[in-house]
Amino acid sequence: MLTLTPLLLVFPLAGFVILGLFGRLLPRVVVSTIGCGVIFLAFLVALGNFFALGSATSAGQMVSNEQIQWNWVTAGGLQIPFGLLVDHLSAIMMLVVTGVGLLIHVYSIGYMSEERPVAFARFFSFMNLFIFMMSLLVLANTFLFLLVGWAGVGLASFLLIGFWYTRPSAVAAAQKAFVINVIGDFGLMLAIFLMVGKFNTLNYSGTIFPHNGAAFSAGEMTTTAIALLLLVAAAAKSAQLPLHVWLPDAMEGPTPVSALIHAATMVTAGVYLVARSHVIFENAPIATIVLAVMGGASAFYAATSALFQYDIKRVLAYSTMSQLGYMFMGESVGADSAAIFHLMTHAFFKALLFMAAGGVIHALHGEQDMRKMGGLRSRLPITYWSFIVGGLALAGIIPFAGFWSKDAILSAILAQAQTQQSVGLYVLWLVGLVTAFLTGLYIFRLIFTVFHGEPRARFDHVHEVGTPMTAPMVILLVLATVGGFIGTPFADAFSAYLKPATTVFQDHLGGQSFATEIAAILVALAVGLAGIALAWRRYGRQPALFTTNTNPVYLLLAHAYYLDPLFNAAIAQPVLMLGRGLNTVIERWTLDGGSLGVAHVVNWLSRSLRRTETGYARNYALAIAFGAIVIVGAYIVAMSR
Amino acid sequence: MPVPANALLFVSAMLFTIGVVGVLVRRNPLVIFMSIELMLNAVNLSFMTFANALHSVDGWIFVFLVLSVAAAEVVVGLAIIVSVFRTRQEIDVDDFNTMKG
Repeated sequence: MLTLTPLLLVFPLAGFVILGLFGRLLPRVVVSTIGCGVIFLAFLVALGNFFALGSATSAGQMVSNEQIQWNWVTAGGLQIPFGLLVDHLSAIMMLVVTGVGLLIHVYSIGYMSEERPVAFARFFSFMNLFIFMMSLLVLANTFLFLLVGWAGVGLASFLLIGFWYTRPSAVAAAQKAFVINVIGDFGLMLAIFLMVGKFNTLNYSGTIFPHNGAAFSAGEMTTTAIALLLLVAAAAKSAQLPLHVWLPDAMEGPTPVSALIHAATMVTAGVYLVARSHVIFENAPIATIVLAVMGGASAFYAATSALFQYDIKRVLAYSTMSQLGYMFMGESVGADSAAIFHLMTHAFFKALLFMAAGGVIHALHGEQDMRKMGGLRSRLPITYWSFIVGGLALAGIIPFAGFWSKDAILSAILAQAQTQQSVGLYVLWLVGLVTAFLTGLYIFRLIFTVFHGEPRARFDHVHEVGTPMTAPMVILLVLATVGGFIGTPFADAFSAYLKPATTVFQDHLGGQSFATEIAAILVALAVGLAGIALAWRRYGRQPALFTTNTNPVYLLLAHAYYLDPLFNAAIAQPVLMLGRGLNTVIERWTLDGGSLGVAHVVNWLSRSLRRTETGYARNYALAIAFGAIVIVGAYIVAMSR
Repeated sequence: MPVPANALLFVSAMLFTIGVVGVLVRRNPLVIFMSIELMLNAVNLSFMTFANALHSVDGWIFVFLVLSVAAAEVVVGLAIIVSVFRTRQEIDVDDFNTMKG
């Protein structure tokens, strides 16, 4: 089964090429069949890989499968092969990427049905390209091809955010996402250069795999530098402070894109990268502290910023950033399996929430402003229940998927705090709890505002979306409900599966008593419920009146701490001014000035010389005679010497 | 009694100078043409003088060449002059200055 792994790349690539070249000629039904079919086939391969690897490991045969396809670079002693690596981490990641990706593809058939045929085919070819690049990122066995996939998903996200390219705001958002992603690519590239210098190889087996892990000496400068550069890459891709600014704007893309790229898969690439290279982080304590601060700050920042957003998708965007912060917090204490677990459940419930938001937007003919919605509960029942389940999972309410994974992260942090007696980790745990409270508050504020109360504006023909859109929602609804049971503290099948590939937090309890963990769970559950209760008190019981509010705290949060204008003024504008200055001094004055100056001199010379061309034949004759005299005179003088 | 070579060369030089001055000072194209012919024949005379003095046939051959070129040149030049006269009704070379830069 594992020999079929290359097909994981071949299928989506084939879909991209076929739809990209011939999509405009094909009828809509063929386009959607190819677009979804290739992802379905890839999903089957991923599923086969998952179980084949699991049974091979339990039979004690192997822990990973590395397939070298061919040598890509041979330069002196440096050899970089193109190969695929199937281990427990990449098997799970591929299952999430292709599985959730498949559901979102199916959903897109309905959501994009009003597009023109050409745009419809373009959309599916870009989506397939994205899945291909993401698979390359996950399956690569060298950092070089990780980088190729890394940059490739950035490209695909640029194309998809700017899908409606006639909207100036979509184009601006696509450019912003691309520029910030390239900052991350650059960080990854520098880390790769450092690794080539240190190890003279880029294979995972020569750099980060545990049996070679001793090569990273703890606390050394190079190790710390590599770890910090990897963090830059992860922050840009996973929208963590301070490189998060592209994610809320990226909501300009079609909603399935937001679900696929900005909730389920691409933004988790940073989490994957940190989990994959956890050996480096274990040997770089400084980078681990930065990781914890970055994760905690992003989780809290995004949760508070989501509190007063009015765009339904922006709330979800900030929520994504906040949940990614949780994952990085978990990774900072070494609980990689908990982080990957949260990555998976988050893919389920956040994709569900985005699909449901897309359902609302679709039903209201493109309206995204929550202030105009309300009372949609009876008219959009499936969407409503999707939101309720997704919201409960997001807020971490038992027994939904998010509860188990969020608890795994929080209890791992608490356990580490107790083991190390570290005040910082207790603070991190508290930040996690506060964020959990805020999460319940903002997501149920959204649900109560949109679905309860009375409609705030008139919309005609509000109806539930069609089967291609509801079917994936129902599947995800089930997964978001029961998906957490594979990783409960009582029977943690998820960590057991992932154990050979990453750090697993030691027997989940980290040495603390079972009672402590239960208490921690109850506290986390209580704050989540408190958040929901506050949302009910504030927005649920009576319709909220969205009057203008001049409270400075409200304004600060509603504008996401004014970071966008701040970055614009502090970074973007100076860079633009530098560019304009260089344009004036070097481009206009030096280069253009130089070439135009030569042209001016030649022009002036020719204008003066032209005077000699009088048109009088006798003048010319005189000149010839004079010349002849000069030549003959010169001869005479020369001869007489 | 053979004429001395120096005398012949002197005559040649005089004829050539008269031709040059004629080209430069006259404004009637026909006269300019005649002056040019004068210059060409002055050169022919010096060719013949040197050919005789050096007992070489090269000078004679050059003279034939110059004569034929001169004949052709006169044909073309006269045709131009006639056609210019037909269009402009005058033949002052100083009025033909439309080709100035």
